[in-house]
Amino acid sequence: MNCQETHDLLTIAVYGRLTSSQKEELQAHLQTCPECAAKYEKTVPLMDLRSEVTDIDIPEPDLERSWDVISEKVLGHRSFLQRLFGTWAQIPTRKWALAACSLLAVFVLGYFAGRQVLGPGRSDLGLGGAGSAPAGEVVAVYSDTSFTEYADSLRPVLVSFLNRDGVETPEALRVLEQQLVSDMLVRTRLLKDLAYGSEDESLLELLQDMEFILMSLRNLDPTDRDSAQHLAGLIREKKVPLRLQEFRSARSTF
Amino acid sequence: MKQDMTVILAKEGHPDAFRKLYEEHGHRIYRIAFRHTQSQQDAEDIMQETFIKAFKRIDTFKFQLAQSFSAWLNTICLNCTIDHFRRQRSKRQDRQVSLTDLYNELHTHNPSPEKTIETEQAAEHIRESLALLPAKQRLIFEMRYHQQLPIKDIAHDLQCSQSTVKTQIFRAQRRLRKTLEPIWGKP
Repeated sequence: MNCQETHDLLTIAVYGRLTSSQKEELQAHLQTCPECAAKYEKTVPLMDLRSEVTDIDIPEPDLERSWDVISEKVLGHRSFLQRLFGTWAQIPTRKWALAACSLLAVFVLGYFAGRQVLGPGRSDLGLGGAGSAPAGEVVAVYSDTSFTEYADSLRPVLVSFLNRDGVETPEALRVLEQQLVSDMLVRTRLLKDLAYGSEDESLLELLQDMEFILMSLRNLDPTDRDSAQHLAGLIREKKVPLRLQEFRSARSTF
Repeated sequence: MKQDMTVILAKEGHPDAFRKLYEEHGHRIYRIAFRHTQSQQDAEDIMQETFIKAFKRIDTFKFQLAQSFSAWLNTICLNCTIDHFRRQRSKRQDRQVSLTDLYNELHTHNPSPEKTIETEQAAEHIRESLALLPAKQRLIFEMRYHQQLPIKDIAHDLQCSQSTVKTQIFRAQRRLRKTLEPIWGKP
C-alpha cells in the first residue's frame, strides 16, 4: 500500500467505516511510514464521530400515518369503477351512496317505464289480463332497457360477496350495502313478475334464484360466517354470476 | 408466487393488494431510507414517496424481466433518496464551516469521557460534508463505505455500471480528502 492509498483509507475512516482487512493494511503501512503515521495521529480525533447506527437504534416508523398519505395520493386517483367494485371494505362511503342512488334512480325509471307500457291506471304487473299489452312485447321492451343494466349492477355485488374472504365490512358501509341489496331485490321481483308471461323457463329460474339469494343476503347476520359460507357455496353451485353474464351477452329479449 | 399474485392484483388496481404490498415492504424500505438519512422524518418521507411512485407506476413493472418486486422497490427508494439528498444539498450550500477550525477546537480540549460540544460539532460537520457531496456520489459513498456493500451490488441497485460506481467513489473520496488535508498539513 502506498501513501496515496493510505490517505484514502484515512478519509474513509472519518467519513465511513473501515473493514477489518482495511484496518490491518493501514496499520501495516503506518509501521513503515512515519509521515502517514503522523497524519493518522492527527486524524484519530475525527474518527468514529459518526454515530454508528445499528438496527436497535432505528426508531419505529408510524406506518399507519404514512399509509394514510400514500392511499390518499394513490387511491384518490383511482377511477370510479375501480373504487366501486374493488372491495367492499376499502370503498369510501360517498361512492356507495352515489352507487345506491344511481341504482335507485334506475329502478324508479324502470318502474315508471314499465307502468307506461302497461297502460294508465294499472297498478298490478300481471300480464295475462284483458286489455294489457301482449306479454312478450312488454317483456322485450323492459329487457331492452333494463336487463343489461340489471345484470351489470348485480354481478359485481355477487362477485364482491364471493371475494370478501372473511373481511368485515364497516358499519356505515353495511347499511348502504343492505340498501343496495334491498333495491336489487325489488328490481328482481319486478323482472320476475314480467318473466312469468314470457314463457322463458331458464330466465324465470334465474330470477327466482336471485330473489332467494338477495333475500338471504339482506337477512344475513354479518357475524354469522357459516351462513355466509353456505350462501357463497350456493351462489357458486348455481353459477349465478356466469348465468347472469350469459343472459346479458347472449340474449336480447326474453 | 404468493407475492406475485399480490403484485398482479395491484396491477389490476385492487386496493387491498396495495395495502398488502405496503405491509410487506414498508418497514424494509423505511430502514433503507433511515440508514441513508439517519432521520426518522426524512426516512418516512422517502418511504411515502417510494410507495406513491411505485403504485402509480406499477403498470411498468414487468415480471418477464426476472425482476423481483422488492428489488424494483429498492431502486425507486434509492432514487427517492438521491432526490432527497439533492434538495437537502441545495439548502446547505451556504452553510459550510471549516473542519480545520473545529479540529483546532477539538485538539485544544483535554479528552473527556463525555462528548464535548466541539466533538458534537465536528461530528455534525462530517455529516454536513457528506451532505454537500452531489446526491448520487453521497449515496454511493455511503453504500460502499458505511454499509460496506460490494461495488457490484451498488451498480445493480442503482442500475448503473460498475465503472460509474468506481468513478463516483473516487470523486467523493477526492472531495472529502480535501477537507482533511489542511489538518494533515499542520506542523
